[in-house]
Amino acid sequence: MMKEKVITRNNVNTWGKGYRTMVLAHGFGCDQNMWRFVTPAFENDFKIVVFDYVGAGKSDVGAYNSQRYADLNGYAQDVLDVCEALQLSNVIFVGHSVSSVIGILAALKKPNYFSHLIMIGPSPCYINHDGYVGGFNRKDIDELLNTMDSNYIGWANFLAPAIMKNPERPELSHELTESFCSTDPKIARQFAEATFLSDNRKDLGKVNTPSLIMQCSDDLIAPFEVGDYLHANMKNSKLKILKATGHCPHMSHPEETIAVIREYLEGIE
Amino acid sequence: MIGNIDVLPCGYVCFKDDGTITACNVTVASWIGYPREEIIGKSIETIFTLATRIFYNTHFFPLIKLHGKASEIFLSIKSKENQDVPVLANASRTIEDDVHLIHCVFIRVEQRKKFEQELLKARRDAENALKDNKQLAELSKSLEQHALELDNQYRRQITMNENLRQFGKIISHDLQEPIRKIQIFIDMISKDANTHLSPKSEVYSSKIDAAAEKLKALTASLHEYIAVDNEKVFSEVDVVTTIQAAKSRAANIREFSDFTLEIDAIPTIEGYKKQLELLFFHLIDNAIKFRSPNRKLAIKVTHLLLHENIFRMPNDQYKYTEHVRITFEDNGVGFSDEYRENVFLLLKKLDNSTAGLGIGLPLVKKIIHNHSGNVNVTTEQGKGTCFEIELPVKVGNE
Repeated sequence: MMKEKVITRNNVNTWGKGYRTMVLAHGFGCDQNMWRFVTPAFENDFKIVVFDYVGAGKSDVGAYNSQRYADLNGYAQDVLDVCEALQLSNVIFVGHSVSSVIGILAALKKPNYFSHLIMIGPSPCYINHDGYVGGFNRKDIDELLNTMDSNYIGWANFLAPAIMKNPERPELSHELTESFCSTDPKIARQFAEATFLSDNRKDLGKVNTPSLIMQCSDDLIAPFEVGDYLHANMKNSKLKILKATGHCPHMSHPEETIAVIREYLEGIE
Repeated sequence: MIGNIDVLPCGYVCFKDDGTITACNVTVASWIGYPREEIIGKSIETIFTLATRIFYNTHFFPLIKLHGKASEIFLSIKSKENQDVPVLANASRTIEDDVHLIHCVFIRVEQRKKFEQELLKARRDAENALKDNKQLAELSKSLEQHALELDNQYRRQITMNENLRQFGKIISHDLQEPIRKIQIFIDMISKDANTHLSPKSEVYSSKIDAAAEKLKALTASLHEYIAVDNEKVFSEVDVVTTIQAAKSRAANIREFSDFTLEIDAIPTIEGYKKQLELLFFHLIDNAIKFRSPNRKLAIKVTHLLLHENIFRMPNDQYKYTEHVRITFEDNGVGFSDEYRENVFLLLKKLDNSTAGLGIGLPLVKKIIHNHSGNVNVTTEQGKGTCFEIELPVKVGNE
């Protein structure tokens, strides 16, 4: 793919100094903005690359293909496209939530692109199966999809006509695009389905890239059992339990998140 | 002033970034069904239903954290009796004494929720109907177009196949005959007691013979290259046995068996059995030809299962299906990286002094393409060559 095309399509932003590159990939429900609490800590030692998956943030929604993005492999291709466009190799990949598995899929396809995977709140499978604790039942996920629909009826359908009626108030439109990271409810819903219905447990054993599993305390979306499962099934993986609670430590507890990433990076140099 | 939050006809909860509830009013406590003292100090997540907790983690919290506020968000509070209390939430984030606090008010929307749900359902039904309709219309249009293209291609394919068949026949029979005759007559000349050939002519005659021999081999290879497409039926192919059969054949033909071949447990795939055997024959044959004189030839074949897009033409079609990536690695002499693009070109030899006709690797590529697969080669001069072959595990629909 053409370099410029990928840069605009995925709203790729690059800055920082250093000979190594850190690519940070956002999770479901947000965009590259979520990294702004941690990137300042690394921009003096690393070239920082952030981007939005197609359909999220300020990516080119026109490039959305519902066949491609029904599968996490389609998202992994976004990561590979960004690496290829910037001619990156030996990247430190930092993925939040579902982006951890997306990073795993990308690293399996092109091992040379990645030197380490740093995974924040990863889970290879969200739904419980015989003997496996993912944390959710199918019913829970259906309810989540309903909650999302309820919220988008307000945001996308009722607000959008209001914007059209208020061309003299562009800030309304701005607010809408800023408020929910993905503006298209269909895309958000499909991403939710691709994420929460995925099962990539079989891929874990194939990964050779060294990895850090950052497991939060009391994380509903990735409970302790999931962190242990990942650690037991991934070669060269390190498991770090964070004091941080919740699913977004890079936003709720940026200092600890930074310290843990830094400690891991120092250990590998 | 603060005291009257309890008489407000809405729920109020205040919590920290880490989720710890620092205050709440009696209204919300009564919905939940626990005394206020038991709610304070717990995590905000404990008052939500599971679906709302996911939504809180993935959307609601990032929203407040990034923008300092959120409004008109639908959430569900969970009561002690496990009843859902649907609420509309507004939230803002403030800083007091260096502590960030999130203030959240909830309005119960049972009636509205029912209405919303009906609206949602109606919208979904309408959307689905529209989508089905639109998709059907688009599909039938693109089907018609595809059918036309296919028809066109099919007709051209028939002509091309006929041409190829003729060509194959010419190569395998019509061309063989004059070559054979050249060789016979050269042989007769040299054996004829009545002809006395000068030493120079002896050399010429042996050169003619060698050239005819090469021509024979070339036409045989070309025939192989074309005939490979005759196999039309897919079957289940045990890749490991296929590689082993290819190894025996290569060892026999090259009269060389002083090498090791390690194969891991590659699964069975759907494919053209004879072609796949030919593919591995040429890879092994190639490894034998270009082995290093300094060490014993060692070939290693490993695999990895991946999901790749089955569509190869770049027309924005996607379907991720299981593929096997077979890595075929040898410790031979390798070649210079600059020739990487050339190795798969027909009759293009990197080095004219080497054995072979330049047909093996093009054939390898062709067979892989016949399987809708992909091949990549990496090499390091003096160290070895590595082929990465990606083949779909199943060709049709899963």
